[in-house]
Amino acid sequence: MTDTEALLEVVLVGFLSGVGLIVIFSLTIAETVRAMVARREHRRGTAVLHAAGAAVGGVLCVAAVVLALTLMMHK
Amino acid sequence: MDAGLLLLVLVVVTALAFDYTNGFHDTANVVATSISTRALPPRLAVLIAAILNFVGAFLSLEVAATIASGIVEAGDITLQVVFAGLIGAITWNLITWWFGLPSSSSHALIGGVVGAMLVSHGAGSVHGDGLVGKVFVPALVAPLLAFVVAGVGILCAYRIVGRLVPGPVTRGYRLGQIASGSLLALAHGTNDAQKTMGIITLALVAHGTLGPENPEVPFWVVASSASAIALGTYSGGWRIIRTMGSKIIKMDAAQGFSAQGSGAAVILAASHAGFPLSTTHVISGGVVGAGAAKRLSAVKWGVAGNMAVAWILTIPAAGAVGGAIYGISHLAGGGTRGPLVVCGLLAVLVAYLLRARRTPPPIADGPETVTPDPGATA
Repeated sequence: MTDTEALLEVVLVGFLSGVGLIVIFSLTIAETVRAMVARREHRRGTAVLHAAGAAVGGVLCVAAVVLALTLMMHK
Repeated sequence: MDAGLLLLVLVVVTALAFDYTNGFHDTANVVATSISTRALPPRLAVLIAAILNFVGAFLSLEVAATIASGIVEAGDITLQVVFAGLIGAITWNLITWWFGLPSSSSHALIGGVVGAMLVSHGAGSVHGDGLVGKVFVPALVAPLLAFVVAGVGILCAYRIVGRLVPGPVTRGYRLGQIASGSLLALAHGTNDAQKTMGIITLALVAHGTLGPENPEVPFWVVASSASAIALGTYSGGWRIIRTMGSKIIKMDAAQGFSAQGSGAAVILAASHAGFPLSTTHVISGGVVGAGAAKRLSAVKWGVAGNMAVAWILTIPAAGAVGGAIYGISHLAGGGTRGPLVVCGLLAVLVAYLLRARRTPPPIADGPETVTPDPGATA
């Protein structure tokens, strides 16, 4: 019969990781765009702040890709 | 060539043919959204998918001991059953491709094997609870979960980037699509090429080429399975790509990324938990979810309904073909002769179909009539 525990794990992990990935990537794009706009308007402090946010988001996205590759190789 | 070796060659070639159809049938899962949102040009998208499918096939070699494990009685599976099951799956893949409908190649293979087992060993050889737990429940969960994840994801995404300059935002999501599509292509190569490797390994064990105790997959099996799925992917199932990419919803880059990102996350979560989900069901659910969350009327529900019907029909239709092929093979003498006769009949059928397509339509006997243009003025 259905492995209920595995099913619940898939639903929970799939939902959190899926929505989490989309949110983090969207925030990364948003921060990158805001950093670009701030730099164009010569607001250096704001630009650095947004660029730092984008970098953190980028690192998280790369970590997600690495985790996905690790899962594929060790399944 | 002795009869056993001939049967082995037949099963290996049929398994590779299934692998090829699996590749071109499922190309849409990984490239349709990227092509639709112009993240990648079509030919480049299928080339990248093909290369990553090939690489993915080498990533993990945890080949299942049997196909349709836990669904049919493993000890009753013979090479004739496997052959009939593969023909059933290939037939269903070709039919759904012709109509441009994405459907699960794994379910087609399971259906084909179940049908052949029903004819060969009767209902007792099929585990009903296995069929429910490993096929029907995942087939319900996969699209629904991806639908919800992509739907919630795209609503969050629109909220985050909604007021920003659209140009760089679109470029960002297109980059994300390339990354998530690449991950999906790798996962597809890893999961689906292994099925073929498992079938060929099973055939080699049955023939006695490999020992039954923990058989190691020969390198040529890995390389040929990887090549077949990659070639199939490169061929591109353009009919299904059109359905997934533009017939269900007209998507923007953010929706494309949401569909693919949610799909990749759900598939990897399922893979980690050991819960079998179909890539096709997940991505299709994600595409519909990303469209419906923006506007319900944006989804062409008729196309989505046709897909759902194809999913429901997959197991019985592939099973009917698998059962019929096993029956014909058995009537023709079984052993090696049966599958050979089936191959001969299929070759005749394919030749007839190709000829029918090439034959020009008959010319009308009477004089050609021209319908007057009602808008024309004297």
